[in-house]
Amino acid sequence: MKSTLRLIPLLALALLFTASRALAQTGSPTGTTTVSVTIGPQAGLTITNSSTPLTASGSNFNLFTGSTGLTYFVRTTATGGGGSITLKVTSDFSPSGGPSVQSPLTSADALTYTCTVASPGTACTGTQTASTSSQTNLATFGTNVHTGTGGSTASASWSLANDPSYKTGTYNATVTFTISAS
Amino acid sequence: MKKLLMVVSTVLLAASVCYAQPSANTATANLAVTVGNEAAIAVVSSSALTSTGTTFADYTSITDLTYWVRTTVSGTITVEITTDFSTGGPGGGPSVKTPPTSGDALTYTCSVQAPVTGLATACSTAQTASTSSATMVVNFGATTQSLKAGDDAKTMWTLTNDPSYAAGSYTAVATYTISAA
Repeated sequence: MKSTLRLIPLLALALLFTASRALAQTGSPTGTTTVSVTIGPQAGLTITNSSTPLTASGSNFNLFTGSTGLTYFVRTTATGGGGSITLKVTSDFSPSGGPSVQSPLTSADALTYTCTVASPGTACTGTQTASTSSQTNLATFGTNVHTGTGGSTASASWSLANDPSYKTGTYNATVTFTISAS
Repeated sequence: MKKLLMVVSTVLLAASVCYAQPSANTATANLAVTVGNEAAIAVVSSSALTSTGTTFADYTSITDLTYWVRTTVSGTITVEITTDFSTGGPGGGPSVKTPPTSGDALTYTCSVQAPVTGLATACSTAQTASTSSATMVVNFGATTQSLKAGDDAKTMWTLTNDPSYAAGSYTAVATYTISAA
């Protein structure tokens, strides 16, 4: 009898442990988790024709002209966002003796361009003068805009005076395009 | 459960790969321009041939030109009478091709403004105009370049005032040609 009474608390404890272990295994038939992603402003671009020849038609010192095309990808913030595409002549025409962006022979010898930009961007207005010292505008983006998966197109159409004072030869310059989005 | 996790991760990875198209936020383009030999000319003004006084002094006039040139080796300005004086010749007026008198001639001298670089040389002596060939006005040397606004050249014409010319108005056409090589 005494031994049986002693066993009762032990048995009770054992039962309690067994019950708690039995209930901790089953859980719930479904479970959920939150998957989240933050889509931020972003921008990128590629040049369509990285080599842009400037050519003059005829033989009467007509302007040298050419066009650089690019594809841009952009996403701006839904509220208060914006962005731009700018360009800068990062390497002036060389060798010397021909055209120059930084030091043109006359003001009429400047390298200029006009802009064409497909939606959602807005093209620059009028003729722009290229610069070696600062960025100049090609396109601007407003708030909450984004291109499609394949991007949108833009181009800079160049004009350069055919000054008789240029020595004959081939001259090269480098233009760097920069896109930004906020 | 394991299979579900694998599917979800595969979809997420595929999505990230599909939209990883745009490149960097800067790109460069090279602009290349080949500047070649070129030449152009314009007649600024051409006065009528006139004779001063009443003693059959020669008729004279000046044709003013503007030229633009860029050479590597050389170039020229020439002139040719492409249309002779109308109704000229014996019993008529002056003629470049068949003057009424052997001494009658349409001649010219030349002047040229120096270009920015290089050399421009005007004809040194009086030239006799021709209807059958171009005659020299200016010679350009190697690496010769004019101003962007152009440089000046002139031909000073002289026409014999032959009394045998019948009174009247006579016109001819002189064509200037510029070249650069």
